[in-house]
Parts: sequence; structure tokens; C-alpha cells
Amino acid sequence: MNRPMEINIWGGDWGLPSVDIYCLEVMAYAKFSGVPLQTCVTNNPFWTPNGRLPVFKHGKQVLSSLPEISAYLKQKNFSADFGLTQKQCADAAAYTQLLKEKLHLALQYVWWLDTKNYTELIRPWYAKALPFPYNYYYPGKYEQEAKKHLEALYDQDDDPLTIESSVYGEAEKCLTVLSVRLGDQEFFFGSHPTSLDATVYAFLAPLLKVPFPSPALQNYLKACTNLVKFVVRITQRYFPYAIQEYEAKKSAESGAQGKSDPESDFPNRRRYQIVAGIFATAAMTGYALSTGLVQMSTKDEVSENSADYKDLFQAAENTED
Amino acid sequence: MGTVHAKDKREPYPHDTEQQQIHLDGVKVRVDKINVDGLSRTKDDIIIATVKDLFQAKDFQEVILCAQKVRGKLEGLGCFRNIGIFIDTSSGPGATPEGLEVTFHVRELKRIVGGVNTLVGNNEGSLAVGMRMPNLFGRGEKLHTEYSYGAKKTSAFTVSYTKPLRGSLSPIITGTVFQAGSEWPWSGYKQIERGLLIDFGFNSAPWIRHNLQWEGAWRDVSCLTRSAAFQVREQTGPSLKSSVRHILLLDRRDTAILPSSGSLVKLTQELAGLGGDVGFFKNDLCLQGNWTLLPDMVLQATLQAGFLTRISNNLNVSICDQFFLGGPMSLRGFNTRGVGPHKDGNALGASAYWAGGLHLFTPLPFNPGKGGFGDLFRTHIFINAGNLGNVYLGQEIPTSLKAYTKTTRLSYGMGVTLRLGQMARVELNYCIPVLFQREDQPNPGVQYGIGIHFL
Amino acid sequence: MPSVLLTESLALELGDRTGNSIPAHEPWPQDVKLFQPYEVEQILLPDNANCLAVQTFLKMCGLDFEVEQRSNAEYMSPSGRVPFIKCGAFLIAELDPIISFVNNKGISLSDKMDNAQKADMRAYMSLVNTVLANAELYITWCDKTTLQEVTKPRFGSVLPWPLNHVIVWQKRSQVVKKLGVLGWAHKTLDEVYQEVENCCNALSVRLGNQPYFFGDRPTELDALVFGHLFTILTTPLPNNRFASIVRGYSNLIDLCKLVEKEYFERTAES
Repeated sequence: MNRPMEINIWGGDWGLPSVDIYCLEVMAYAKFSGVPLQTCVTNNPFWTPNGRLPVFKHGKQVLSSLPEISAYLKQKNFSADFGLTQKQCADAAAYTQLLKEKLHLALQYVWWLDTKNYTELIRPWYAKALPFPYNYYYPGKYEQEAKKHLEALYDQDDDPLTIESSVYGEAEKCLTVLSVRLGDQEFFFGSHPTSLDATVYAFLAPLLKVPFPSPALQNYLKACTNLVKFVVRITQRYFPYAIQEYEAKKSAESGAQGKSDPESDFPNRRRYQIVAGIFATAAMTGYALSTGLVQMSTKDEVSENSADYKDLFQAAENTED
Repeated sequence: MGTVHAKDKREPYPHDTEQQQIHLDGVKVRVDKINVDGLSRTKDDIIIATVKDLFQAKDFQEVILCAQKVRGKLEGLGCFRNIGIFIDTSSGPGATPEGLEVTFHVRELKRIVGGVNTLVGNNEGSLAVGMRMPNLFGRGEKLHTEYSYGAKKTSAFTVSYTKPLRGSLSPIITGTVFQAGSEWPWSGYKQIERGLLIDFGFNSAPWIRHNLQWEGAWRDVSCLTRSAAFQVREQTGPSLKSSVRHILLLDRRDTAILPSSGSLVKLTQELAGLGGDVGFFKNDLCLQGNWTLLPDMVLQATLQAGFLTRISNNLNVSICDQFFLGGPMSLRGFNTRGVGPHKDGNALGASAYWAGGLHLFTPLPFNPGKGGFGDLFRTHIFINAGNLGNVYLGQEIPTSLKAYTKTTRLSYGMGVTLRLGQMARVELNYCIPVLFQREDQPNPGVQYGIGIHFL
Repeated sequence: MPSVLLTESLALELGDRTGNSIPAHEPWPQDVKLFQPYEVEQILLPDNANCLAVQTFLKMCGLDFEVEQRSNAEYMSPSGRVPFIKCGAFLIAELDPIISFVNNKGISLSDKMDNAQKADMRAYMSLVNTVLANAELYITWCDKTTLQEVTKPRFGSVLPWPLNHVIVWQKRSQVVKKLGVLGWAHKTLDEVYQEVENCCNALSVRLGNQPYFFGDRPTELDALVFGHLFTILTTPLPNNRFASIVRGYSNLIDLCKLVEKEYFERTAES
């Protein structure tokens, strides 16, 4: 192993090593398999091969999804699933699909489509985390993707409330099933975490830890105490640094709360001022140019083609006739 | 510049220039020359064809009348915005002593005329963008496009191309491509219709207009809500209608909205099933008569009837092809589509209907605002009757007709009606349904309607 | 905050996709109808699998129903997907809501199972629903040969020209969009076959030597697996690699034969 394995991820917050499901999945899987992995918080999916984080790099290998990465790690003799029987592997595959079918859309919904969560928490978080100018692009893009996802699966329903209750209902069923399956065990297949544990952790941890303003599904998860303990257990055992960082940040914040900092009221204030100034100037210049151009050169064209007020009135009259 | 010279056939005619009182019909003249000023795109041949009649005028009065007529025809071409007439004695080479020179000053329309409107209706606001290209190739051709986008993601558009042909029957060919969405909450379905319409219109007599049409339409019917009746649900899905239609229109009314005299005959026949999976033969007749009994008091009698029959068992008839009856613009005193077969609150329509109305229109009591705003209003008392039901051809005719005559619906009432421009009318009525059936949805009390076509 | 509904919610909420509230414990009516597209000339592989799964489930429950074939079954369905059943005034589409509806009448195939088994059953049903169903959609709509030779003629068979072309195209873009968001549209055919292989392998391992997935009695999972596998095995396609993958697992074939014998041949004889 001459070169270290490296992974680019979305940063963490709220006691999570990363806020992104897929980053968490890979990170947890690597921890469970004992892979020495260097994490690198980039918070910028722009330069990645398919526009997504995480990106796993080892020498010339660049991979971005867990199946690919786990297959690669298996070649290097790292796997979290070595101890599983065939039947357990089959179960793991089935439960992974269950999570993908039932819980993935619900998480997208909680994250991007619940208006309150999106405007009050998620968009500001991503806007702050992403470097300029990507912070203007990605949150909206992810929202659109989530919307497309929902529309493709619920193409017949147009009542948003029905859709929401259906999405949450499916997710709650899935959480119940997971809770039943986990029972009193430490991990899904006994005392050692596997790839299924990595996936479940990745799906549940953000839902549990992120302080959502609209917490319907989160409350349901909190009621499943064995799943909550499961998430806490994995975080404490494998990502203690995330909790420590969050605690430190919280205490620093509570210490600094006395003096209200104008900068923290309005993050990136200077940047917004500059952007606004540039935008206004560009708009004004554009306007001046366009009106000037119109008057100068294409006068005949304009008088023929442009619909002036008289024409508008005439059009209205003629349609009335 | 279209300048037309009269053929050189001089008929010297002595007339008394000393006469003090001029009888215009006595002044014998000859139109030597017609100028049309202001033409740029419009082609000469259609102008010549239009103004040619003026050469037939023999005396001054005829010239004036004829010039007006020609002006009307020029306006009818739809190429010009305003037209002025100048009549002068002719001069220059080839001028005859009693010769006249008639000049039309025209201003052509812009190549593109457009507009943006917002519309509110059907519980949905929408934005409409319209564009017309009048006189596209210089012979009165017209391209008209309209696109509207609604708040509920419904989009509708029409693109139509009209070409007037030359001939004494004033034939016009129109081709239209359209897409339109409509919602029918009374029947529990919504419909998106996309299609192509080719129309050939001509006059067979001065007042009788025929339209021969072919329409190919792809209709997508879907349930409006989950609680729609199963009978409606069964008819959902796409269907393709290919039909030929003949419309005969005889309109001698003085105005389309609140006429005071004249009558209207409109007969529509549609045969669907030339391709597509929808087949029927549909007849629809509308008769209307207006008589002024006393000054300002108008009696209007209207009769409508329609009949639809299947032509093949392999071809369907969709709910959107059926007849419906009831509502403030049709049989008053009933909910919209409130007459006839219903299931779970959804009107299913039927294959035959008739409806008649007798209205007595008078001005507002004491005539407030006479000669101005008050003239837009009328009060009316009315009696409406009608029926909607399925009539089957063949041996069942006597029984189904018997049932049909027994179940006539009747309502009467009074109200106020307001004319909106030359386009539409608004009615506010108090209605009392008298005869109705168990499955109907009568709506006694105040009823409000806005629209173009009223019973 | 909801109380923990660990056992209760396994009885699954009802009718949430149909919008109807379900009356509690009314008996199964006589005139239940199952609506589906025409089996011989119209129905496509994924729809056929779902329709067969629902039919099998109802037969396993011993419930009477009548199959009605309609060319516009898909448009009539409240969810836009087939099959759907009409039970009195209620319309319930697709397997999961139908299972819930039937359970609510006090009829269940899985009431003898413990919670862990029920959880496993849910998970395997998800496996079938995501992998096999999406693979069927992929083969039907994204594989060019199948699309041209099977899907277009069959799907368009009930539509007049030129609507058959337009609607096939419309439907295809809808399916491709769905597969796109589920991460299937960009897969290659080989990757899809690999997914099917993995899924069948997992099912086969889980089934082991038992007659049904959870012992001697059939469950909802058996109905679903039979619906998909039997349809895959019996549907002629230009490329029959799909069926040959399934044929590689003899215990799955045995399951199909058993279900066919128990629930379809018996009714055909009587």
C-alpha cells in the first residue's frame, strides 16, 4: 500500500461525520472493513466525475458508489461482509433494496421538498458550505432532482398532501421493519457491523441528528429506540471525533452568544454586497445598450415588428370582433 | 400602386349643368380611374378584383354607394387598418368629360400584431400570448397564433392559417392546429384535446354560409378526482376522432347578442369514424327567432335539438362526444349538465336532447341611463323546457320516444342580462324549476351565467 | 409524537394510495372484479407480472374475483398502474394496497408468521419490486430490439394509427424518466442482467429447500415472486437471456411449478 486511499466528502455537522447519505455510507463501510481512509472535506461536487460526492481515490482509481468501492476494496482484501453466510448476504441485499425503495424518497422529501426544512435549514446550510458561486447552483439543482424523483414515482397524484402522507407512510413502515429486524442485537448480523449496517446507518443518522424544523418522520424514528441506540452506538464507536467537534462548536457558540456579531447575523455579507453591485451594474448597462442599439440601427425592423401600444389595442379590438 | 383604367367606351350623355338642385342619381358619370394609395405588400390582383365593381356605376349616387361597398370589401380583406375615399373629376390623358377618378387611401396593417393578456376562468389564471400576421403573402392570408399557459400547468395553443380564395361565393380555407385542455367537474373528467382542423367556408346564397370541415383530434380523457363515477372512469384514456362536419348557418339577426329582430338557423352534422377509433353520426340544430312586439320589447324563441347515433360496434363514443343539458346558459334552473343520466353525482350525458326557450326582453324598469350605460341592460322573463336522454334507433324507437316525451323538464324565472361588448352576455336570474326527474340536479333560486351562446 | 407501532404497523396502513377510507371488516363481496389489459395481444411483461402476482395473491387467500380485460385498464386505474380491483365502491390498485385492503378484512397469508419473518418478507418483496420490476421495465422499454419487436406492436395494438406511435413514445419517455430517477436508465443491458442474477441468487438462497419462502404455507412474497418469475419464464422475447437466468435456479422453478399446480391448474379443472 504505497499510496493512501482518499475520499472526498461533504462536511459534517450536528455530530455527523458527513451530512450526505452516500458519503456516510462509504465512510462507515470503510471503518467497518478497517480500511485506512483519509477523508477530505471538499463540499464541492463540481469537479467530480459524475457531479456527486463522495469520490474515492486510490492512485489512479476514481470511484463514486458503494458497490464499486466495496468491490474494489474486496480486491484489496478489505470487506465488512467476510463473516456472513450466503443467506445473510441475501438478507443484506434484500434489506438494502428495502431502504432504497422506501426510505430514500422520504429522505429526499424531508431534505429538499419539505418547504420549511428546505428554506430554513437545508438551503442555508448548503449555501454556506459550498464555495462561491456553486452555492447559487447546487441547492436548487438538488431540489429539482428531488422534485423530479417524486414526480416520476407519483405521476398520477396531484394532491401534495396525499403524496406526502404516502411517502412518509412508506418510510414509517420501513423503519418499523428495520426496528423489528434489528431487535436487541448490536448490529444487524450479530456483533460485527456489515455493509448493511453501513447503509442503514447512512440512511438513519442524518434523519436522527439533523435538527429539522419540521420533524414528523424524525419523531417516528426517535420512537424506535433500538434504531436510535444503533445510530448512537456506531457514531460513538467509529466517529467519536464528529461528536467532539460538534460539542466543541456548540460550547463555543454558547460562549459567543452574548456578543452578537453582525457578521454571523448575515453570513457572507460583503460577498452578497459585491454580487448585488455587479448584478445591478450589468443590468443597467445591458438595458442602456439594448435601448441604444434599438434606436440606432434596426429602426425599420422595429417599427414593423414590434408590437406598439396601438397594435396591442388593435389586436384586442380585432379579437373582439 | 394599383391604378386601373376603365375600358375606353365613351357614351357622351348630355346633362344639364345649369340645374340648381342636383339629384345625385341624375348626374351621369363614368368612373375613369381608380387609384389605391398606400399599397406596399398587398398584391394588385386581389385589389383589382375587389374594386372592379366600381366601374359599373353609372351615376353619381351609384358611385358613392358602390365606393362604400368596395370599401367594405377592402376592409373584409383584413389587410388594412383605415381606408379613406376621395372622389374627384378625372384629368390627364384619357379623361372623359364626365369622368371621375376615385382614390382609396389605405394603410396596411403591420406585418405582425401581437398582444399579451391574462385570463381568469375555470378556477385557474392563465397567461395568453397572441400574435397575428395579417396579409402574410399579400392576398389577405392570415396567420394567427395564440398560446396560453395556466397556473395548473395546462397549456393551450392554436395556430391557424386562413386564405381567402377568389370567387363569388367568398370561399375561405382555414387550417388550424390546436391543443386545449378543459375540465368538466360536473361530469368528473378532464380532457386534453390536440388536433388538426381544416375548414372550407363559402356562401351558397347571400345569407347562407356553409362550412365543410375535417377534424382529426386526439382526446385524452382522465378522471378529475379519485371519486369520479366508475362509468366515467371506464371511458378514460386516449381516443382518436376523425370526422367530417357540415355546418349550415343562416343568420339574419341584427346583432348576435340581444338581437331585436331577425332569425338564426344553424344546422351541424358530423360524421366521425373515417379512421380513428371513435365513430358516430351527430346532428345538432339550433333555431332562433326574434320579434319586436312593442318598442324596446323583444320576444325571443329558441329551439335546440341534437341526436347522436353510433355507426359501428367497433367504434366508441366517448363521454366528451355526448350531449349534455342544464345550466345557466342552457336549461336554466338546473345545475350545469344537471339534466339527464347521473351516476355518483357525475353527469354522463346522453345521445339525444331538445331544449326550447321563450324569452321576453324589456329595458330596465323606468329606463335608467337610457341612451348610454342603461342600454346594455335588459330584464327578461323566460320559460325553458327540454329533455336529455338516450334514444335508440330500431325497434325500440316507440318505447324510448314515449319515455322521452313523458320526462320533459320545465323551468321559468326572471332576471337581468347585461351585454358585454359584441361578444358576450351576463345573466343573473331567479329560476324556478317546475318539472324535473329524480336523477336531475335542479338548482332553484339565483343563478349566474356568463358566456356567448345562450338558450 | 407517535407511539411505537412495531407490531401494529406491520398490518400496514390502508388505502393511502387510493384515497378511499376502508370500512373495517366487511365481508368480501361477491362481485369483485380485477381489471387488467388484454392478456393475449396487449399486456406487457411488467404489467403482466404485476397482474399475475395480484391474481395469485387473491387465489392464495381463497377470494373470488373475476378478471375483466380492458384496453384502457391503465388509464382507468386510480394510480395509473395495473392491475386494480373494484370491490364494491372501492378501487384499489397494485399489490401492496390490495394486500392491505385484504388484511383489513381479516384475511392474511402471513398472520402465522412472527414479526422478524414479516420484516424479512417485506425486505424480499422490496428486492423483487425494485430489481425484477425495474429490470422488466428496462427490457421492455429501453432495449431497442424488444421495444421495436414486442413492446410497440403490443402496446399500440389497441390504438388507432397514428396514435399508437405517439402514445408508445409518450409512455416510453415516462418509463425512462422513472428508471432515470431510480438509477436504472443509464445501466447497460449486461448490468441489468447482473442485477437480475444477483436478485435471483438472493431469492434462491433464501428459499433453500423449502416449498415456499416461509415454510409450508404460501405468503405474499410467494405470490409476488411467482407473478414475476412465471411471467419472465413464459413471455417470449427476442432475447431470452432473462428467462435463462431464472432457469438457472432450480428451486425457484420448483416454486413456480408448485404455485401453478396448486392455484392455477386446480381452478382450471374445477
